[in-house]
Amino acid sequence: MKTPLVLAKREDLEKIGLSPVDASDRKKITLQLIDEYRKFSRSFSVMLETCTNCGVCAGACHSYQATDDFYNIPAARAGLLRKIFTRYFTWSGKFFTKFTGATDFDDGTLDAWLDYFYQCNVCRRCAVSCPFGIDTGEIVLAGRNILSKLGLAPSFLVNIARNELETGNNSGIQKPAVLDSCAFLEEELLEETGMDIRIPVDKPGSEVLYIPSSSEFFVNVDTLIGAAKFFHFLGVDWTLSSTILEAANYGLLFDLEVMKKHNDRMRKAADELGVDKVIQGECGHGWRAAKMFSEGANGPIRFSLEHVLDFVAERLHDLKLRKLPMKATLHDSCNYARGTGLLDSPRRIMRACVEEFVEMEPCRERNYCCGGGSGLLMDEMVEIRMRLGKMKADQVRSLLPLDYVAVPCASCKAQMPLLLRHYGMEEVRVGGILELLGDALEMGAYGTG
Amino acid sequence: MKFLFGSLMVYAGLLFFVIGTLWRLRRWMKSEVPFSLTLFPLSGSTMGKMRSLTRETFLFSGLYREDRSFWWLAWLFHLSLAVIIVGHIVGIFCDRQQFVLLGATPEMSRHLSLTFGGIAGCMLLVSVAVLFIRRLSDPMVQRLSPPSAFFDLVLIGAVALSGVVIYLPGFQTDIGEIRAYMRGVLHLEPTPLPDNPVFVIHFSLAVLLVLYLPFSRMFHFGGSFVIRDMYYETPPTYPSPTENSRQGSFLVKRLYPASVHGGQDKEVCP
Repeated sequence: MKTPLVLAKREDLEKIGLSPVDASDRKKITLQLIDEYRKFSRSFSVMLETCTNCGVCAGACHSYQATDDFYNIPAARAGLLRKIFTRYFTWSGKFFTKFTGATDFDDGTLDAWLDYFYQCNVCRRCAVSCPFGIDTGEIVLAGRNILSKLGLAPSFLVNIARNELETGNNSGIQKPAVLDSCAFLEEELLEETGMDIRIPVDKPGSEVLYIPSSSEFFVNVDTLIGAAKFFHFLGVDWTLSSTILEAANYGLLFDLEVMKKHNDRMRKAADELGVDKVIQGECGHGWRAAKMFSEGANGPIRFSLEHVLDFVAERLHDLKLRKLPMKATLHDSCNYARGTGLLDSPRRIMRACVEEFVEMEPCRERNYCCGGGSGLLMDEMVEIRMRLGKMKADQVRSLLPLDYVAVPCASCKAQMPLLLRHYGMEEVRVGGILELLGDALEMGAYGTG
Repeated sequence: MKFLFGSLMVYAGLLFFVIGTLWRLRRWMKSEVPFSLTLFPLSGSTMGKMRSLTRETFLFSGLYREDRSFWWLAWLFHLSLAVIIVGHIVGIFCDRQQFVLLGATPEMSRHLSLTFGGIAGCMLLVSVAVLFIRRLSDPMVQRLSPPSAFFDLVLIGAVALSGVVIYLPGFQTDIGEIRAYMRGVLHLEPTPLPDNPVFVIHFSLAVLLVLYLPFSRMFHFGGSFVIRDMYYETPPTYPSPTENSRQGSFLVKRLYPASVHGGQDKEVCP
């Protein structure tokens, strides 16, 4: 089905180093870009050329299951690129075009790419189900990168990338606003706990740099509050950096050059503050970009880099927690479960924080995406996103009555409440794991502050 | 002429197969793996990875979990294929005496060889037919399949059918003559191609299959190892170790030089 994507205009593209290509040059340049990409990344051609079209991925893909659109079958989605690749980059496709299923590049080619590469959440569930391990997400990301270089990119992603490049966070928050927000949150903390719990910004000589999601300053404040309580409880010498307030890295989702630059910010901030440890907050794809991609994009890292949930789970025995009287479940963010292997820490923390912890079915690496992954959070995509999240909504419904769905990822936090409202489950609370931790921590007990 | 045709064909086919395989692998392997694509959960130990790879390769464990009925079909198909390939090589080399090594009498060995070969041949024929029917009858899979996917199955089916037909009573085949010819081929001392038309068809189609295989989607077995190799990579740890950290051209180069997309190459937003 058609995606109602609003594409970025020339002046916005140029601000992040992209520029539109004349319609008459599109074919030539697309083919050059494909050629560059196949040399750049092994996964591209091997995954395109290994598919036998057996159709197993159809059953694994929430996007196809919920939309019933043929081109949302992973094999068919990748097929949109495969038939052009086969036509122009293989002998068999050049000489036996019809026989191999190849097609000529035409006016509809790029439109189809835009429609279907932006209906994929890059959740990697197809990679788990495919007998050969083909990850259609890799093809989708390649396709999106190529589209971006042709000047075809969603306005939403381009604007976020611009904010990330200019300010180091998606929302474009400047330092004074950050200081204001933190002062406000510190007051809240004082009121709630009676303790002087700080949220330091740019504090030189700190041991730990914490990189949250910028949404935690306005919408998901309880996640940041939870983190502040936790660091305070253990006496961790931590700070935020006003130059990188965003674990998210939208470049991963449409332009690898942007990803590289945002990853570089993390290094610069760590160097400027002199920290030995960087802890990333609750953001799925951002953690994948930092953990799995930054060494290849930016070179060796001199500091230790850890996810906040691993950091917390290692220190559970040092915490004094009271179990919250609720029935809670965990939504495995795709980039945690399949992308970075963050599977056990979230569960250990939740079991320690709530009275009744229940698993979704399926869970862990077989979990379904919530429909908000891979940067599809733009307003114009709400309707499609609600459909993409149908499998997830069904999973939650089967666990009702339920008090809490933990979604330790900023994209999931933006999607899940809408999804539950759309499917009539607004009574279920949605939030982070740090939020639960903050509620469960008995601050007065052994508090060091 | 027959002499030239038979022996040239088989050696050319094998040469094509080897060169094609190396060429396909080389085409993939010369591209970098710029980022760690590890697919989780992943066993940290080498033994664990080996176990997982073995289960995937010999038992198709992922497919077993995903789609049980299709697993039966795919697994039995590949199993019979493997039995037939190994059986052809061993059976011809040992002149069907391979089971003597396991304690059978020469007569029993000949009998066992024939029985196993027959079962595997029929199994292959049936499973390839069912695979073909599945591709055709499931509208989704049919729409996904290019003509080449059907052709691949037909080709395998034709080789299997002609192979089974050789043994059918009505065809009066002199198996000894064929085996002698094949032994000659294997020992690089080719003799003229036997006169049997069914055998000539079977043999020609098999050679065609072998030389075409590396250039078709039937090369998925090669691709699956290249993909697993990326997935089994030990994820990076930080701080990065002083040696062995990932070295790729993306570290020093832009993904796309400005010359390609015609866009600006200047640094935006430091």
